[in-house]
Amino acid sequence: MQFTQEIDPTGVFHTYPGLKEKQRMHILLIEDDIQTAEYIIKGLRKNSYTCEHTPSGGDGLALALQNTYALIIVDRMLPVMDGITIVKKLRDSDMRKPVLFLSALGDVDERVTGLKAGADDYLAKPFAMSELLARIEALIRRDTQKNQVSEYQIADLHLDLLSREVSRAEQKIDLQPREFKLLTYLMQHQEQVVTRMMLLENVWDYHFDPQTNIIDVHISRLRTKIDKPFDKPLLHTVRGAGYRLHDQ
Amino acid sequence: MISKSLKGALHSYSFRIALLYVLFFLVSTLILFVFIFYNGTRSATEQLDETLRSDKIAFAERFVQSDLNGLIRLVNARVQGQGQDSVYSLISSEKEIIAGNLANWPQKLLPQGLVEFTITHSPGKAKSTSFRGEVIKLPDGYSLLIARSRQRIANAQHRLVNTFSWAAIITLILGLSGGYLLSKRAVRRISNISRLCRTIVDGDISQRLSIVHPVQDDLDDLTLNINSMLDKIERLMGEIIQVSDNIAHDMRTPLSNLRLKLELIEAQAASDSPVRAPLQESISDTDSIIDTFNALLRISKLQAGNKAAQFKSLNISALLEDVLELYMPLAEDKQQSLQLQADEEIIISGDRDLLFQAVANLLDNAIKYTPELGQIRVQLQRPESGGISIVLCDNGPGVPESEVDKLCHRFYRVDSSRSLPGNGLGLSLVNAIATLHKAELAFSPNQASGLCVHFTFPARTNPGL
Repeated sequence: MQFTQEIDPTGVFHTYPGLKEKQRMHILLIEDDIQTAEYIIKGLRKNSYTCEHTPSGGDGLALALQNTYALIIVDRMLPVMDGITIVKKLRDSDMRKPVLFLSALGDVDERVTGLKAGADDYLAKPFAMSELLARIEALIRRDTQKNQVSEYQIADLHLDLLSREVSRAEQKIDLQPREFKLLTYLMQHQEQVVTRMMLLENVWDYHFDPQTNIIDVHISRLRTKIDKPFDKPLLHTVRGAGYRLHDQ
Repeated sequence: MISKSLKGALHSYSFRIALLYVLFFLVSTLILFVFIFYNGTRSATEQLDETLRSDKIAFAERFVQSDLNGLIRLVNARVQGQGQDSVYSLISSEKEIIAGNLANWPQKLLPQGLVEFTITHSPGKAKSTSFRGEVIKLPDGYSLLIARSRQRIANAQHRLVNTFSWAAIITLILGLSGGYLLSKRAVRRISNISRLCRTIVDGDISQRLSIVHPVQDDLDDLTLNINSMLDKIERLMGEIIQVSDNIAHDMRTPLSNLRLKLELIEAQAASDSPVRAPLQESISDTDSIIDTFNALLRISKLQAGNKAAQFKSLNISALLEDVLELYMPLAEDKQQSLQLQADEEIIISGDRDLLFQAVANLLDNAIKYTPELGQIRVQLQRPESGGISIVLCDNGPGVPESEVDKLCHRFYRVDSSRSLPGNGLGLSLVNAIATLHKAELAFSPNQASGLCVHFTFPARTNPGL
């Protein structure tokens, strides 16, 4: 099989420069709805992942225990063995690879149940492919670069977690606490697409549905501070998906 | 407490019926009394008249048999025999008393026929006796008065009035207290029923009324009917939840697939393809269907389930600060002033994410419907009635009073707002969240113009204070 990078001008399916150097990412999908699985597989392949799929919970667990996957996507309601049991068994046998729940059970409580079982992220159906891809990317990145840093740099933008200072081209930028947290999250996920939902969950720490695109307003605030006075924009909008801190 | 139960009993339907019955009894007693009084008096008077007549006949016979002296002797004999109960008096044509027990011939006495008069026994004293009698004209200007005391009749009348008064008072006391006790019992049972109905309205439909009486009466029938009605409602609600869960589950996957398919097609379409724009519109249409669908499901889940057990202590003041901070840029974009007045830290028990959602929805509405340069104020208050209240006031166009009640209905939108984005589910969700927290959601007009929303927690969800 040939490994190719497809350039997608719309940005719906993104290419990630970092992946070029890395090994091809192998993902296990345990999903009983064949059509959903088919779309997910297509979406993943388009984004340079390889994917193995099984509709059965039992088979899924057996495959996952081989531990050759970069990430495992699990549906919660599955024949033979449900998703929660699979994840619990995986964690019991010390399998530490990231697991993402994909479930029709979308309540905050259900989400908590899923995360408590040992999953790393939880996405409710119906979901957008762009959302799934962004989360997969974030999980895999987190898994590969585990060392904690206290400073982040992209192009000439610098953020120091300890002194809580942000500067660009040697100029100090004053940020509100929440703006600082927002930029930190974006810096930690630089060169990745970050969705609005991810920002709400991680920067604001409340699980709720904003009726308005409130995140956009905060991003544009941040943009006027870190991008507007400078020549080169760093904070980009990825249409249909979210935002990305991107150099070049 | 006692005065409350007394008030409840007095205002009760059964007490009013008891009161009506007491009134009927009193009226019939009164009618009975009038009959007895009237007839008793009449027959006693007739008896007295009969005695007078036989007296008259005796005197007439004596007068015919002997002469005036014989008559005088009879008068004297009668006076001695009868005592104070009777009056006999014989006068001459010059009104001079010849015989009898009368000191003075009563004034204003008719010269002949039936007469009634009173005699005061000793001057200055109030005691007087009423008499009924007859004046008989005799030849040569003589007149004879024979009369009998009415005292016995008067005494009998007095006793009758007394008896009936007591009877009326006893009827009144028995009737009122019986009515009160009866209605208190009825009120207690009815208020049990209504208290239960209240808890059911508040969300706990699993409650049932208990029947403890060995003999089934009409209230027990009502109780049984309410219980069976509740059984049916509970079953229907269960079915609705089941159906909506099924719909939810059956629709999630196709909706999910639809969106994924559209995304895939869009990704495959060339960047200058004419289908790109309609595809993107379809994706955003699908998203709004998904949003509405999710919101509806969420409201149903909140209304059906009992999540109160998972409540945790949270700092409501800090939560308000977070919501305001999130929405501040939106208000600033419309040059609105957004203020928070929460001077003290208040800890309540609740669901953090849901309360954030509720306040966010309210604030989002306020910002959306208040024009530019408007003012929005969020306050954390302790109302006099107790509890904790989040009050959110804007000076936007407000809501007509006739529409306030409908604000929380699903899909309801005030006519003037239909052009603005939204699905009409925001306040339904807030209402469902309020109900879950046993909080009250109320609307009132702001002073000059605009709307105030009051989200009031009852005092009991406030264990830390």
